[in-house]
Amino acid sequence: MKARGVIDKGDEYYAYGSVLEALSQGLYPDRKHILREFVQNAYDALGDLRRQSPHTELEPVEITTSAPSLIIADKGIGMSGETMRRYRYLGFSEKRASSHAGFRGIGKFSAISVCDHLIVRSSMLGDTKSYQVQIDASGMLKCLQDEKNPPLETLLRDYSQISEKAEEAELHYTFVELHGIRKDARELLDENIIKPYLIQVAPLPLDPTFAYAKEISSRLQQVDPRFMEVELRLNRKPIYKPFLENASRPEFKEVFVKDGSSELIAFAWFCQHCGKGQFRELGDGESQGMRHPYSGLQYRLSNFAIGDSMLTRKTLWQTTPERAFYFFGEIHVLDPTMVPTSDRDEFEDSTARKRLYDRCREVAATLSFRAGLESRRQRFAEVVTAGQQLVADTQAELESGKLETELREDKDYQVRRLLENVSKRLNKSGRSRSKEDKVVRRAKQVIRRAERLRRTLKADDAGQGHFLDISKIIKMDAKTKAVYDTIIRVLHEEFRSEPQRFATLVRKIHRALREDVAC
Amino acid sequence: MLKRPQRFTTNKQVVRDLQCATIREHLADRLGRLSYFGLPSSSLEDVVQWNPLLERITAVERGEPRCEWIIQNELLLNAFRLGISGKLTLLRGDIDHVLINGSDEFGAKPDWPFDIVSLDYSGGLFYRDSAGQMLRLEAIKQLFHRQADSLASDFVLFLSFNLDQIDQHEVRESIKVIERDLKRFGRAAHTVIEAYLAHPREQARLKLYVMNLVAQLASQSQFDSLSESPVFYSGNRRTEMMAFRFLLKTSARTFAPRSPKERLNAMINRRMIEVVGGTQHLTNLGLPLIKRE
Repeated sequence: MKARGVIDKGDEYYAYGSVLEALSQGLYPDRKHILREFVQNAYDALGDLRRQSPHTELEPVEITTSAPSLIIADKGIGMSGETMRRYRYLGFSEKRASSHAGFRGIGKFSAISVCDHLIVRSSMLGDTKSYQVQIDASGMLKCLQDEKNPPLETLLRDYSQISEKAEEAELHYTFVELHGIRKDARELLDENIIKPYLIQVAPLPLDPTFAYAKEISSRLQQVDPRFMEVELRLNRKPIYKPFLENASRPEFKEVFVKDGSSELIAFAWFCQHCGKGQFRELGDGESQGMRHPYSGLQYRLSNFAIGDSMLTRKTLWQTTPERAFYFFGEIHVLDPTMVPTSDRDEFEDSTARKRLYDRCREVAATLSFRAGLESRRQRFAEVVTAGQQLVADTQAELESGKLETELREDKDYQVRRLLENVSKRLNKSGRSRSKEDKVVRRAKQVIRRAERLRRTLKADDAGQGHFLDISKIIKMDAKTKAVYDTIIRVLHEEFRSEPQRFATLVRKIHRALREDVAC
Repeated sequence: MLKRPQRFTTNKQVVRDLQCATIREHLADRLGRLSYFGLPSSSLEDVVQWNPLLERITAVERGEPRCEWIIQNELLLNAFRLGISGKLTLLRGDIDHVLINGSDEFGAKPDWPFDIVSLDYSGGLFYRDSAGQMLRLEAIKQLFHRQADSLASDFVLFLSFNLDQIDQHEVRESIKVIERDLKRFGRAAHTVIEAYLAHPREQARLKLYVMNLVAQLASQSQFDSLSESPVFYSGNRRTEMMAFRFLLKTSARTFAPRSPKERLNAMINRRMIEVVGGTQHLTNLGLPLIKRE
C-alpha cells in the first residue's frame, strides 16, 4: 500500500545497466575468482545430489580450457526449468549460506566481463528435459555502451534467452561454457595459472599419495556437516590438495565457542615441519629456499578456501608470525553464522568472526610455542653437532702436535664458549627432555670432552708435544722471539674479531719462516 | 523451440559397424589404447560406439558460420553427457585447414600420430577454396605427411563424402591415367576402363578414383594403402554417400619415390558394398573384372 502523497507512476525503472557493469567488472578484480564462482556452483549441485541421494557416487567436476572457451561441468543434481529461468535473474538465489558455498546469485554475472557468451545447459535428476540459458555478454556490453545505460530489466531480458530440449530422465548435469574469453582475461585459459589457483581454493581431496589423506578426510567428515571433497579434473587430469614432505603426522584441534563448551566453531588439522624453521621451496628453481606457498594454515568454509595462509598469519599469529609457516594445514570453520566476503578473501566483519579469531588465536599460540620449542631443539642439536666437531678437530690437532702455540688462547676461548653455549641449552631443554634424550646425551658428552680439552689447553706443555712452537723449530734467539711475540700479539689484537683469519695468517707465517729462515 | 538432434540413418549405422570391424581386424593389438582424429559430428555417435576401443579422441568441428560455437558447445556437452569428455579434445575449425596448417583456428594443435582418422565429410570430396585449390585432396596429402613425420604405426583411414558436385574432369582424367598404368603392367584394360567411364552411376568411377588417389598420396609418405570394399548408401535426406576404408601400413621400403604397392587390378576387382534399408550386399554394379593373364 502506498503512503498518501507518494507520486509513483508505476512504470519507472529502479535499476539501470551500469549496476550490472559495476557488478560484473568490479566484483572480482582477480579474474580467477570468476572460475571459483562456477566451481562453487558445481560443488553445491553435487552437495544437493548427495543430500537427495546419499549413496550416489559423485563424479568429478570437469574444468576444460578449450580456447576460446572455459568449461565447467558437473554431474550434480542439475537445475529445473524454473531454476534455470531464474538463473537469468540478477541477485536471485535459492541457496542458503548455511548449506551452500555460493548463495548470492550475483557471481554468475561476473562472467559477462570476461566472455562473449555464457551458455549454461542443465538437466535435473528425473527431468525429461534439459534447459539452456544463453547470455549474450558481448551484446549486453555493447548495448551498455551504445544506449547510455538502459534499464537493467531490459538488458537482462533482451540479452538472455532460455530454451529446452528432450533429455533422458536419468541424466543430471550442469554444463557451463564461457565462450569467447576476452584478451584481458586470457589467464582463465592458461592451465599453468588456473591449476595452482584451484589447488589453493577448491574443495579438492588431499593428494592420495599423502599417507594421512584418508585419516584427515575421515575426521573432517565426522565434525563438519558441510564438508565435502570431490575430485576435480582439469583438462582431463585429476588435481588434488597438496601436502608437504618432511612433516609430522597430522594433529587435530577442536575449537569450541568458549572454554568448557561443547559447541564447535572450528576444527583444525595441521602437520609440523620436521626440519628447521619454515617449510621452504626445494629444487633448483628461482624460488628455491623461499617460503613454500603451501605452508601455513588456511581457513576453509564448506571446504572452500577463505583467503590464503597469510590471512591466518595476519589474524592469528600476534607474535613470531614467521612461525605460522612451520606448519601446513587447515582450519575448517563450522560456525554457521560465519559469512565470507564476496571475493572470499576474508570473513565478513561480525561478532562471530571476532570470536572465531579469538578462539583460534589460542590454537596459534600453542602452535607458536611448540614451533619455538622445536626450533630451539633443532638449534640445540646443531650446536651440539658443531661442538662435537670442534672438540674432535682440536683433540686431533693436539694429539698430532700441530696446534700452533699462537692459537692456543683462541682455541681455549672457542672451547669455553662452546661449554657455556651447550650448558645453557642443556639447562633450558629441561621441559622437553624426553624428545631430546639423544641430543642431551650427546651434549653431556661434549661438555665432558670440552672440559678435558680445556685442561690440556691450559696445562704446561713441557715434554707433552701437544703444541707447535715455531720459535723452537727455527731456533729463535731470545731477542728474535721477543720481537716475534710482539708482532703476533699485535696481529692477534688486530684480528680479534676474525679468529679464523688470524689462524690462517699464523699458519702462513709459519710456512714462510720454515721455508725462508730455516734454509 | 526444441532443436532436433542430428539423426543418422540405419544405413549409416551399417557403415559404422563395418568401420568398427576394420578397426578390430587391423588394430587388434592396440584395442583400448587407440587414438582417434576426425569429424565425429556433435552427436558423437561414431566415437561413442567405438569408445571402449579408444584412449584419446580428437574431434574437429567448425560449426555453422557466424555462430560456430553453438554446435561446438553441443559437441562438448554431448561428450560430457555421454561420459567421454575425459578422452576428448576439441579442435575448432575446418578439418582441412587443421590438416594443412597443423593447428585449429585458435592455435590448438593435434597430438600426432593417430590410429584412426575419420574424414566423414558431410559435403563432397571435390570442394575448392576461393583460390580454386581442391582443399580436401591437399588435406589428405598433408594427413599422410603428418602421420609419417610423427612416426605413426599402421593406421586406418575412413573417408566418407556425398556425391554432390563431382569434378568430372578430375575423375575421368585420373581414370584415363589408370588405364595407361594398366597397359604398362601389360593388361588389356581398355574394355574395363571404358565400362567404368560409361557407367551410369558415379559410384563406379569414384570407387576407382578414390582408391587410386589414396594409394598414390599414401605412397608419397611411405605408407602402403590397403583398401577395403567401398560402401555406397543413401544417407540423410536421401543424399547419395560413399564411404571408404583403408589400412595404411608403414612401409619398410626406402624413401625413394615409388609406386603404390596395392595393384590396380586388385582395386578394380574389389567389389563394393551397397547398403539399402540397413542391409548390405556385395556388388560390382555390373562392371567387368580384370582377369589374371
